[in-house]
Amino acid sequence: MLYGIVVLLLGVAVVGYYLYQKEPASADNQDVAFSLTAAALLEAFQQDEAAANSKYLGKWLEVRGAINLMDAEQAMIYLGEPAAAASISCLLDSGLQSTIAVLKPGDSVSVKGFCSGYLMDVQLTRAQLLP
Amino acid sequence: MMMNYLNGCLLFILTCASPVVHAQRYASRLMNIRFESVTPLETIRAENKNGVLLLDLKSGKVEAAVLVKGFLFRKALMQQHFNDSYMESDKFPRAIFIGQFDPGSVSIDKSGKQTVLVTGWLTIHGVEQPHTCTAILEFKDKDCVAIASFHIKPEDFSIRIPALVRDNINKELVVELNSGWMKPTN
Repeated sequence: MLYGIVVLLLGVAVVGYYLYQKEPASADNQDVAFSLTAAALLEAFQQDEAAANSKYLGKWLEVRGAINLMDAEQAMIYLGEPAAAASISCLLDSGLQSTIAVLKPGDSVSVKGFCSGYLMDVQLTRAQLLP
Repeated sequence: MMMNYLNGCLLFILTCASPVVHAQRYASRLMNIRFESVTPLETIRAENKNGVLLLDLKSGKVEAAVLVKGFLFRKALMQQHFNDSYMESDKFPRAIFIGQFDPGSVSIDKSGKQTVLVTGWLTIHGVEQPHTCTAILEFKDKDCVAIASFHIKPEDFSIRIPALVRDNINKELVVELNSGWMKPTN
């Protein structure tokens, strides 16, 4: 009986420790809630931010568009019209810098990322490039 | 107020496109924002690389903003509690500071670090509070970098932390901002 309780407590402690140490989920295992173009996503936020927030905020999105600006050192790419004031900013997951080294402005890409909202750009974090 | 802020940003960008001789405005959309809480029980750190900073040397106006959901933590549970329980980031997606410094206290031609006192309003979790901090500006060939560091108390912004975990989180969080090198926008 006592043995059983000790094993149970140990089990709880192990699961608790695992949950406590768990890192934020990467894009790999996330289901995409919406798949849309960079232009459509930006327009949704520019038209009605509150409505766009309730639809897209905190969701994993798949966004297609052309790169209009990139910063390989910061692992950032921006999708949208050339020289546009607002774009879709995509901060790639750490360790994925090398995947954008081969890209250049004008290239069309598909990005999966977590939508953290609208602040000049619509921001995606923890992003990764889709094949 | 949120809409005013964004309209202001757009206006800012648009006016930046017009050719003006003197460099006086700077903008960053890659401002790095970190905060840290250290207690004997737990160390909590988070980072957001997507902050926006607008700086006007002529008027002394500063605007800084960040999306709460863009903060990355090392631990998934911390990130979840931060967003769901403390910051309620679905309801309050942004944190914003709008402030003012004495434009006479900064010279673009001076080398080395210049300290300025910035006073204004900080809005976190939908609560607006007066806020003053010192910022350090540095110029190199008209390029500018802005750095600031200050403390905030979660309770000042109606952020309720359950008594059970209150000792895990410091009464004052240390916040650090770094704009990175910015080119003049006009």
